[in-house]
Amino acid sequence: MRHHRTSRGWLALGLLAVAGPALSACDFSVTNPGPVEDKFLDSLTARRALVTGARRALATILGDQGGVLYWGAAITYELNPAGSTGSYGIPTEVQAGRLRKEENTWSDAQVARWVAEDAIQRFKARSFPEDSLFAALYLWAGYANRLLGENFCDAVFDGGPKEDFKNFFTRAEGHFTEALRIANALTINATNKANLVNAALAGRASVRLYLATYNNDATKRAEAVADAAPVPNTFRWQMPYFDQDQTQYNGLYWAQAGTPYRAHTEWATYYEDYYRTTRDPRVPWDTTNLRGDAAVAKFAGYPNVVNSRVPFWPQAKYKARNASVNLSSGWEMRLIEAEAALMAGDTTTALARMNLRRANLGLPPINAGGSLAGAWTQLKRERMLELWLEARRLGDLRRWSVANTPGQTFDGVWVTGEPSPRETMTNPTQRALCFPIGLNEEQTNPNLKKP
Amino acid sequence: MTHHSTDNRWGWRSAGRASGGGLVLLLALGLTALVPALLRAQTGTVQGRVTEAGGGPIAGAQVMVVGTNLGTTTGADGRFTLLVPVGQRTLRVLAIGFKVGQVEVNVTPGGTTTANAELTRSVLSLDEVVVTGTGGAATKRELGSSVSAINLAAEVKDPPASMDQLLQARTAGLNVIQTGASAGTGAQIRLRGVVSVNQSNQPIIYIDGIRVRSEGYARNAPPPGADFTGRGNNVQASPLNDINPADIERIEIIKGAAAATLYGTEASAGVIQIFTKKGARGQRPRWNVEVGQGLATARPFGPWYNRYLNLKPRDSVTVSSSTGQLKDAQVQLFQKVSSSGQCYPTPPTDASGAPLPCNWVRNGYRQRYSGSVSGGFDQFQYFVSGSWEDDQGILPQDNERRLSTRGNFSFDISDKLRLEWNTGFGTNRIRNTPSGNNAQGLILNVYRWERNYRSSSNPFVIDSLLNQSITTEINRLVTGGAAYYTPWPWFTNRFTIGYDFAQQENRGLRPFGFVSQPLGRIQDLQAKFSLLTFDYAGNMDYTLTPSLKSTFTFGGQSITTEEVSTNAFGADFAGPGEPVVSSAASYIADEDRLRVINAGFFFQNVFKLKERYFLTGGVRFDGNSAFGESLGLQAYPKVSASYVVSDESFWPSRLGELKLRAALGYAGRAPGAFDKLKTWTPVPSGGISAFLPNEVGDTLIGPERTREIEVGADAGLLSNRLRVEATYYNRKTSDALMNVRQIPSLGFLNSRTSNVGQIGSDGLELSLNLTVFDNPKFGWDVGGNLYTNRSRVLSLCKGDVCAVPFAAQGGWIQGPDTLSDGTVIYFPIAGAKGIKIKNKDEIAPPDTACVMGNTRAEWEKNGKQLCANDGQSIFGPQQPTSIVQFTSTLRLPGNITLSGRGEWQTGGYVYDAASGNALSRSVRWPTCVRAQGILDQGGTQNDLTAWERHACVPANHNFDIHWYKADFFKIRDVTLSVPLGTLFRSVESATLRASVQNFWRWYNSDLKILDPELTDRDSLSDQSRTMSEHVPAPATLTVSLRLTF
Repeated sequence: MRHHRTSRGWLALGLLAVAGPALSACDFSVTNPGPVEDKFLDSLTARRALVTGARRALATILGDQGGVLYWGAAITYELNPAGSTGSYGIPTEVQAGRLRKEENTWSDAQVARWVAEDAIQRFKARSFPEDSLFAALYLWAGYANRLLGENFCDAVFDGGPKEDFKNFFTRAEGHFTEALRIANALTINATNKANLVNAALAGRASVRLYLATYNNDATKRAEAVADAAPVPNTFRWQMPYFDQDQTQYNGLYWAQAGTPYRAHTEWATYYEDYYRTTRDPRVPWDTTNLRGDAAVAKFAGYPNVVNSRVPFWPQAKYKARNASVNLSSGWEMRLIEAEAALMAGDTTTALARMNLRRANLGLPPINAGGSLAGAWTQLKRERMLELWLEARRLGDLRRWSVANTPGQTFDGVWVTGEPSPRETMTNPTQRALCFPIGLNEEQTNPNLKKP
Repeated sequence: MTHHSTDNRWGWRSAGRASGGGLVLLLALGLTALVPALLRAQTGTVQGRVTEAGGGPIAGAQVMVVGTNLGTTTGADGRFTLLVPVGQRTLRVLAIGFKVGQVEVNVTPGGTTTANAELTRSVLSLDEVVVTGTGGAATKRELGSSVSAINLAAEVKDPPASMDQLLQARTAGLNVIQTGASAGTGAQIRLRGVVSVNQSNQPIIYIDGIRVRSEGYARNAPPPGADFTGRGNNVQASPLNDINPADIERIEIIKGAAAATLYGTEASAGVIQIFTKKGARGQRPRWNVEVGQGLATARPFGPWYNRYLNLKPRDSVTVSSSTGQLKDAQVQLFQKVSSSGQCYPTPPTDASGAPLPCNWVRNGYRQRYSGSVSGGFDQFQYFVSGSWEDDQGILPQDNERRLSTRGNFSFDISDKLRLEWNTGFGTNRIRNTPSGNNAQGLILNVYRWERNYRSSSNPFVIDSLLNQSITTEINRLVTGGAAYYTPWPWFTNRFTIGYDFAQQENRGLRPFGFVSQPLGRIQDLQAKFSLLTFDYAGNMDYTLTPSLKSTFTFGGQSITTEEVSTNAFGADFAGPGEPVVSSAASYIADEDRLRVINAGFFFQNVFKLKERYFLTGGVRFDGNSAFGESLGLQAYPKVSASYVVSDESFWPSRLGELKLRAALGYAGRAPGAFDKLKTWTPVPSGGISAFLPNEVGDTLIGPERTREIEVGADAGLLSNRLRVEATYYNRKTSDALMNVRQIPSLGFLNSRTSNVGQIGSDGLELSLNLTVFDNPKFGWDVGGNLYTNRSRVLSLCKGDVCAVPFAAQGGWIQGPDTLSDGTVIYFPIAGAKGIKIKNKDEIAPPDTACVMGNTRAEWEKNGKQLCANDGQSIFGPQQPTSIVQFTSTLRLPGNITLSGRGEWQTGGYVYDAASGNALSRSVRWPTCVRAQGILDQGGTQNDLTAWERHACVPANHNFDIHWYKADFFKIRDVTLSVPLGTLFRSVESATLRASVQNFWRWYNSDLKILDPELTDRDSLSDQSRTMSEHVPAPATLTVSLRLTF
C-alpha cells in the first residue's frame, strides 16, 4: 500500500532539501595555533626569529647528538667511546671509523645552510634594512657553509647536482664578505660592531686558508693572513648553547653528564697523557672513579679496563649544558698566520705565532728542530690543541692529507706508557675523513639519482 | 492491517551520519514542538509470553509495536507486559538466534489483551536488526555487507574486565594485539589490517550513537626532558577501555569502507559501535551485583638469567661444558637460574639492611566490584551502574584504579516520541614502573645486567631507580541524548547530540636525590580532549507495489574534535620535598592546540523486493577543515545487494538458510590538520624565538579514498546446526596520503603529506559455528574464524608526482618493482625492512645480499626475495597475514558451561629492539651465549656463525637484523561458569565464574627473548610492531560471583 504523504512529510523533505546546500556552505576554515604559516615570515618583525633560527639550526648540527662536533671528535680520537651506542652514544659504526650516509648529519647540516641562505633571499627580496641582524644572518650562513666544507665529502646546493665540496668554502667566503660589508657600514655600539667585523674577518680567514691549502693558492693565503691580522688574540665568536631544554644543550657535554650517559672518555686518547704531563688548559679532562656507561668491546683486554668497561675520564673543556663552542678565535688567527707562513716556507714566523699563544698560556715554547717538517708537526699539534673539540679536526686532517703537507699528526688510541698508538687514522683501517652525502639526499634529489 | 515497517526504536540507537549542527538542531526543535499534540493517546495492556517452538521461554526477546517507538523485553520466564495505543496493532518479536515473529492484536481502551509468540530457531538471525553503517535500522537480511554483532547477553554473558580482552579472538577480521604488562596499557585494534600509511588505522568508535575518542591517550613518560617525551614507560592507555564491559548490551563492528560509507571521511578503518544497556518498560527493578577477585601473573620470557625478575627461561640455553666456551663466572651466572626458591645469590637488602622484595615481578592482585539496577515504567526506563576495580599489576610500582559509572534513561513522551539520555563517567588512576627504552627504567637496567646504566647487577643498586614516580590520571565523561520521533509509521527521525570529554594528567617526578639526576626533574602534562557530535537521520518507508518496498534514508552529521595539551618540565630542585614544576631552577613548557571539524550529509535508498531481494544505493558528502583549498565536498558512494536464496519457493527447507551478498563502498581518511600549510616551527633559542622549517604543505590535499568490495554468503546448514559466513574483501585506497620525502638541501626535512599513490589489500573471512550436540543437559558448540590479509603498495605515484620509498609506521613503504619480463612484484604495506642473513647458521661470512632477479623464474629461484631500494630485504608485513580463532563452549548438566577461545596468528614480523640495544652495547645476552663464550676464550669472529658475526660482535652489530617471525598461538580465554541457582532469599540467580586469560601460548622458536605481542609502538594508531625493554602482558585469573536480584 502506498502511503499518502502529508504536509508534514513535505516539510521534512523541504528541510532536507536545504540541508545539503547549507552544509556545503559550512565554513570549514579552522586556524590552529602552533606552527607558523610561511607567509607570516615576510614581516619585518619576523626577522629576528629567522636569524635566530639560522643560529639554532647551526647549533644543532654542530653540537647536538650526531653533530659534527661529537662524531667528528669520535672519528679523530679527540675522545674515545665509553659505552652508549644509542642516545647520546657513539654508534658502533662511528667507533669503527665509519660515517654512514644513513644518518641525519647531512640533512641537518643542509638545513643550517638553507635556513640562513633562504632568510638572506627573503631579506633581500623585501629590501629589509642592512642592519646588525642582516650582518649576523650572513655570518651564520658563512659558518654553516664552512662547517659543510670542513666536514663533508661533497657539496650540493638547493637540490642541485653534486659539486666539489670546496664550493662550500667559496660560498662561505661570499657570505663573510657580505657580513663584513654590512658590519662595516653599521652605526652601532663600537663593541658590537667590532664583534661582527671580527667574526666576519675570522670566518673568512679560515675559509681562505682552506682554499689556499687545497688550491695551493698564494693569493688566498695572503688574503687569509690579511683577514686574520686585525683580529685580536682574545676575540672569540662562539655558538651559544642553553640549558633551557635538552634540544639546546651542548650535546657533547650532555653525553657525558651522567644523566645517565657517560658515553665518552679521554682515557687512551693522545690528550690523556699530554694533559697529565703539561696541564695545557686547552685540553683539560677530569679523573673520576667511574667507568663508562656500557661495555666497549674493542677495548677488552686493555690496561685498566674491566669487563670491557673503560675508565670514565671526561673532557673538561665544556663543563655545563650551556657551554659555548668556539667558531672562530683570535688565537686561531695566529695559527692561520703561522700556517700561511709555513706554506711559504717561513718557519721562524710560524714558530713565533705559535709560541705567542703558548706564552700566553704559560707553556714552554716549542721549536721545530730546524726543519720545515718539524715546524709543520708543531703547527698540526698546536691546531689539534687549540681547536680541540670544536668540530675542526676532521677538516684539518682531510686538507693536510689531500695537500700532502709534511709533518706528523697524533690522532689515535694511545695507552699510557706505550710509545706508539694502538690505533691511528689509518690503522687498522682508514677512518673516514668526511661525512658523506646523506642517503636521503641521494634518494630524493633528482640530480643525484642514479638512472 | 499489517504494516511491514522495519524500523523500530531498537534500531535507532546509533547510526551516526551527517549533519551540520545548527541546522539539525533547528530541525530537532521543530520536531519537538509537535510533541504536545502527540501526547496521551488512549491505551490498553498487552501481555504475553515468548517461547521457542516446542521449547521453553525465551528471555531477553524484544517485543515492539510496529510503527511506534514502543517496546519492551521479556523476562527470564519469557513474559512481557506493554501498554499499547488502542486499535489493531502488530507486535514484532525478535530474539537472537530465532526468526522474527509477528502477532496481530486488537487493543481496547483499558483492556488487557494476551499475545503469545512462538519463535523458530534461525542460526543466521536474518531478522536481527543492526544500525551501524545502515543509515537507520536494517535487518541483516537486507545488508549487502558483513556486520559483526556481538550480543553480550546472548553470547558472552560474563564479559571480562576490559574491552581489549572482550574483543580478542571474537570475530574474523578483527585483530586485537596485546601490548605489555604496564598497568593501563591499551591494545592495538585493527579491522582488516592496514588502510592508511600516513593516518590512523584505529577504527572509529561510537557509543550509543555518539562519536567518541578512538585514538590512544597521551603516553605517559618519566621526565628526561621536554623534548624527550617519547622516552620512558612508552605505553598508551586506550579510551576504549574506559567502557565497562558489564554495561554493554551489544557491539556492532563494520570492518571497512563497503559497510562504513555513510560514516564518510574518517571511517575507512572501520567502525565499532557499542550499545549500552537500557531499562525495559514494565520491568521491576533488577539488581545485579558482581564481585571479582583475581591475579595477574607473568609467563616465562626474557633474558632469563635475571633472577630478580622472577622469570624462568622460555628455552633453556645449553652451555656445552665440553667446549669450554664460557668462563667459570659466566657459566655460574647463566646456570644459576631459578634453581631454588631463594634469591640469588642472597636476599637483597637496602642500605639499612632491611630485605628488599626478592623479585621485582610479582603476582598482581586484582579486585573488581560492580553493580547495576535497571527497570522501567510505562514512560520511563532506567539503567544505572557503577563499578570499581583495582589492578595491582605485576611490576613493583604498577597499579590501576578505575571507577566507572553510568546512567541511561529513556522517556516515552508518547508512542511517537522517545527520548534517551545516556551518560558515562569514569576516572582512572594509573601508576607505572619506569620501563621501555628508558635509561632510567627498571626493566632496561635489569635486562642489561651488570652492563647497565648503573654498572651493576646488584638488586639494591638497580632498585634505586624506583625512587621515581610516573602517574596518569584520566577523567572521562561521555554524555548525550537522542530523540526518536515517529510522526507516521512510515517516517521516523532520530536526532542525536553527544559530547565526549576527557581530561588527562601525566606526571613524572625524579625527586631531589634521584640516583642519576641528583637535583631532580619533573614533568607534568595536562591534556583535554573533546568530541562534539550532532547527528540527524530520517527514514521514510514506501510500499511501491505489494511486493516492492523502499526505504529512503537521509541525514547529516557534524563532528568537532578539539585537543589541548600543556606540558611543563622543570629541572634542578633546591632540596628535598614535594616539588611542583615551578620549584625547579629552570622550567619550560610547551602547548598544543588542535581543532578539526568534519561535517557531511548522506542519502540512501533500499529497494526490497519480496523481502528477499535487496538493493541499496547511497552517497555521503563530506567537508573537513583539514582539506586543502577549493577541495569542496568529497563524495563517497556505495551500492550493495543481498539475496536470501533460502526464502525462494524452490529452496528445499532441509538445506537450511542461505543468503548471498555483495557490496561496494567508499570511505576516507582526512589528512592532518596542518598538512595543507607550509609552516615553520617556532622554537626557543636562549630566550629568543626562532623559526625552523616544519612542513612544506600541500594546498590541494584531500582525504584518501578507500574503495572496498565485499562478496560473501551466509548459510545455516545441517538443520541450523552449522552457521557459515564467508566473505571475500578487496580494498584499494587511492589518493593515498603518502609521506613524500623532501630534498634535504632544500631545507625542509619533514616529509610532505600528499595524495599520491595507492595501496590495497584483500583477503578472506570465514566463520564456522557448529552445534555438535544440544539437548537439555548437554550441549557443545564449536567454532572458528579464519581471516587472511594480503596488503600491497600498489603505487607511489600520481601522475608525474612520485614519493620516494620511505619509512612509515615502523616499516617500509615501497612501490612495485617490474622485472625485465614484465613481472610486477608488490611490497607489503609498512613492511619489515632489514638485513636478512641467508646463511645465518653457517660458520661463514654473512650472506646478506638481496637479489630478486630479472624474471619471474629467477625471482622464484631466489626464494621470492623482496629487496628494498637500498639493498636491504623486506621480511614481510608487520601485521599478520592469517589469523585463525577457535571457540568451544561445553554445556553440562546444571547449565554449567566451560568455554574457551584460542587464536593463532602467522605471517607478521616483529622487531626486537631490546636485543639490538643490548647487543650493540656488549651486553651478555641469551642469544649470544655461544658466541660470547667463544670470543671470551680468545676466539675470533671466524669461529662464529654468520648471524653471530652480525649480532654478537659489537663492532659489526647491525640493528637491522633483529626482525623475527611473530607467529604465535595463545589460549585467549578459558571460562567456567557455574549457575548457583537461588543462593538465598530474593536472589533470582547467582553465577560463579572462573576465567583464565592468555595463560598458555606457543610462539616461533626464533624469537627467544620476548613475547611477539609485546610492542613499544609510538601510538595505538600505527602499524609498528617493535618490542623494547618491557615485560610482556601477563596471564590473568579471575573468579567472580554475580548475583541478580
